[in-house]
Amino acid sequence: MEFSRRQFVKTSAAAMAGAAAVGTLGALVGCDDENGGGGGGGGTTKDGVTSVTVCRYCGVGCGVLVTTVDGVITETVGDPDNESTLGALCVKGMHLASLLYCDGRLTTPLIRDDSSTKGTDGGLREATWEEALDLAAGKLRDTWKNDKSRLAFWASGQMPICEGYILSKFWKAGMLSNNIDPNARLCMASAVVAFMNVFQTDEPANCYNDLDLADVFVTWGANMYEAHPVLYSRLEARKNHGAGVKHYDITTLGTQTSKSADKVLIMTPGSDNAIANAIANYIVVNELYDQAYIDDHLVFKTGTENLGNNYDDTYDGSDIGRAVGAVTPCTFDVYKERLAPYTLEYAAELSSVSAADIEELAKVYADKNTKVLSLWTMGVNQHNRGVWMNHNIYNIHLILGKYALPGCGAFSLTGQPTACGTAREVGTFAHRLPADLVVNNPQHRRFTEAVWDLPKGYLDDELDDDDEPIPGTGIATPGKHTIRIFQDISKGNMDFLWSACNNWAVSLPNLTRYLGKGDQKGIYDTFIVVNECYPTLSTKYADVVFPVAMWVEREGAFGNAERRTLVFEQAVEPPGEAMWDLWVYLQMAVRVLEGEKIDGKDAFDVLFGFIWDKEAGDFVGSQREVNQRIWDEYLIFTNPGLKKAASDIDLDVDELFGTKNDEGVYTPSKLKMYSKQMAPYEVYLNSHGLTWPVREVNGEWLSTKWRFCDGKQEDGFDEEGIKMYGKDGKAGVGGISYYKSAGLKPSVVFRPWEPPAFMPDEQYPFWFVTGRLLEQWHTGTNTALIPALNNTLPDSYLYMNPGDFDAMDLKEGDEVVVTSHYGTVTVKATKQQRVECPPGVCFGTFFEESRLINLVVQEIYDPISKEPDYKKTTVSIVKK
Amino acid sequence: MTNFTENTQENEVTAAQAAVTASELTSSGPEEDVVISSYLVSTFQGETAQAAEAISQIAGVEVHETHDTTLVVTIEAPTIAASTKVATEVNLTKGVVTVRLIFANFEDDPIIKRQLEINRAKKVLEDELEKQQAK
Repeated sequence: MEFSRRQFVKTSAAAMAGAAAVGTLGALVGCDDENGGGGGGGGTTKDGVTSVTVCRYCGVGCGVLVTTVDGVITETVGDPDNESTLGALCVKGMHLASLLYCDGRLTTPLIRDDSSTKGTDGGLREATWEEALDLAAGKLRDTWKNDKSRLAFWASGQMPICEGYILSKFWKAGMLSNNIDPNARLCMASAVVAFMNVFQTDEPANCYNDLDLADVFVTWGANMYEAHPVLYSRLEARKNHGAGVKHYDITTLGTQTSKSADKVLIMTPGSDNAIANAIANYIVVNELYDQAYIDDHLVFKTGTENLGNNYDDTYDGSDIGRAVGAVTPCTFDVYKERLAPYTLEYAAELSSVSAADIEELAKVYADKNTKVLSLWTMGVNQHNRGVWMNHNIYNIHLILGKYALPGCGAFSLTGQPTACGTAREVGTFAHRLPADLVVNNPQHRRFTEAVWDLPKGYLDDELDDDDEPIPGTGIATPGKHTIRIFQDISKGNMDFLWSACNNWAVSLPNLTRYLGKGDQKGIYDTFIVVNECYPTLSTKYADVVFPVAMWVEREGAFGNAERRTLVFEQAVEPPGEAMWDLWVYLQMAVRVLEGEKIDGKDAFDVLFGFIWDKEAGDFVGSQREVNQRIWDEYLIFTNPGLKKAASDIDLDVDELFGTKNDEGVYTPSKLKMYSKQMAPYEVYLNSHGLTWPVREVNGEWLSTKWRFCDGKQEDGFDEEGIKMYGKDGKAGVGGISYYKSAGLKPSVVFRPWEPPAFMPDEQYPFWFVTGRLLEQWHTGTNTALIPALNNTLPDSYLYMNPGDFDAMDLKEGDEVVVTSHYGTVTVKATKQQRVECPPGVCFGTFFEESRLINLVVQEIYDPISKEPDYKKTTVSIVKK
Repeated sequence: MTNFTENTQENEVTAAQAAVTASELTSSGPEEDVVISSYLVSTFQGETAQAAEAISQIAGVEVHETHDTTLVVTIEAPTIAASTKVATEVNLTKGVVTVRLIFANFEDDPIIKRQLEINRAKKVLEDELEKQQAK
């Protein structure tokens, strides 16, 4: 770089950071395009083009402006106009561009002719798109026609919204299959189920602004420093500048997040439900709850208990397995009675956290003048009682009336960049449809049929001779969840698997089983198709690999952890023959659905004719136009007034789904689909992300920051939602209206403590906790390519307690053999204190393919959410 | 309560690994490859000045401004990899809480330069082809 330019760039860099420090970065790098997008000359380069994008890594959803020169990204700057992150990025953001250009990028389709080469470095040959598509589509169609229970798609919380939407439509309406489940099953399913159980609507009510307002932060099993770094910065800034602001960290091991906490409560793995119940018990015993709030807003329930664990594949179909989700109404008095055994002393005994510390925390929660923000993620979700633990955190907040308020609430943090926007909001789950709808609700299916122009009843299961539904013939019965899909693959019960935006061969638990390293070899017989950008372990098992675009090589939209939907512009072209995933889905769909009819019309045209020209064999327009059209249809789900047929079902105009009382008075079943209202696509193009529900007020589309909380819409409160759906259009006690909950009342469900599936014993004396560290994202398919990040975190070490480490006479970097009930793996051991493990606990990250720590991780999942418990595998450790 | 604020053995090891050697940053003339980035470095109350002093001693780092407990810092290094090493060293400096990236220019990084060359060469060929077809 020439000297004067260097000076210019450096001066600009300093100026931008200085502006960011005082909140004026927008004035320096604000978008000058008349549409609010990136538009013209950008960054420090005269001929550069700036595009509005978002980071492709974690659920924080940091806004990024990229500058492109000659079709290459040469600069990034945090987007100051993205209200989620106000111009900040973490170290991974430095490498967003280079990850597009690393060696080994896939640019042509690949086919494996000999399945015995699966799992090896070889066996894949280059092919044309036509050959690869014909082969893959042929296999999919054959499986579909023979037995559609034997096909599945493993989707992703990293898949852009419109891609996920069309894929889901192909699977659920095109093939009438619910065997589509995302990798978000492995991270957010417990949170999702709890949201639906408690509030009858998914996703947090609070927003990132609460990090600037809270008086106390309580992190439950959340290493935000490593996993949500920019949010952690905000928490720290609040602590540094707010008078008396405190942070309590409840965790099974000390982390970088613990560094700044005022109190760290190291608990025995699996004991968090006891701690939470002890806090709730303290509140009720000392009558610190908000009675008026309880009377106005809450109902109480108990649920099925003594759930056991899935020690084998028969659990889901067992008596208890089929009863896990059942709940029964009860009174507040019954709830109090059920809490009674959870004294401080009992919780201390189970958790090893002192009674005094639990009491201190309870008092903090209960203090009427203290705004408390609870934050959690995988420590709570990846848990054999993860749904229950989510419930128990909500229980504390709800009985205190401390939810959905500025600076005060319970914030379930999302791991992936668009697990919210795609997997959850679009519904690429085995049991879901878009916008909180579920497959097993007839009204929800009717609504979906109305949006998708399908005949009434099209999505229902067929009826047998006795007029009973035949499960699996339609989509009225939920399909296979993730673990079930891979269990069936391992047993040879699946013939076709397709995956995109994930790396199941590294991220699944019990890889010993699923990768055929034990006695179940089904992986070798299943026809596997993988959409990928770089070779991964999953592509080593694939029969067909489709090379696809990544990040800003196509236009897309993400939805982050605080419900912010953002459209990211295409900034560069994908390399070689790599194609947009959406193109691949439609090329497959046109082949699979050939000759199929819906109501006498060509099935493909009914479903996708609005975006795909069959004659031309391509999209009807540009990526922008296609995304716009898809969004226009998707928008109806949350704006039913755009289509009468949908609106009629939303309002139950024909009185088909409600109830009639003894007097014959009909109460309609209203879906309240505006509760998650999205805005038109062009509104997102002209903004840098909006948090839903987005409301049109006086011609302007306004975000909602605090769902259910009354106040001016322009200030971020849920004014319009409450007017629409609140009781008599008003909020209740505390200025809150839970208008999406049944009877306007969320559920406080008593959930007991139950032990982990396995406890340490003589054979497996250690707890093994898995997780992420800052520099390596997930399975390293992107970050491990980048020399800088790899140098900082080059291997997946086993972090051990120093005492345990020394007792084994280990030296730094010695290899150890880690064995569990499920498998064995060799890793390097360390007692470095980046992760501070208590005695008997060890920690490992899952990004390193050559280590593959998930070979030992248990297959145990939460019985209700089916989310695996990655945090409590019991293992032995032996020096190699 | 566990005290995490002291540099532990782990931090010392990682800091040693992350330290950029002087030779990687020696200026070899008026024109050289450089990746330039800027960060906001948050520090603990009462440790800002000391952290600023320590950070400014790291090769390639310049502290430009202080806003309360936040430092405005630029890093200059020959590659993205080297730049990240420096950022890691900054992050591990005593008194530093978090490091937020604001801006990065990496037009000189080998991976980016290589891609620029590829794209430019491709453009030349395409333009040539277009000219020939036009004839």
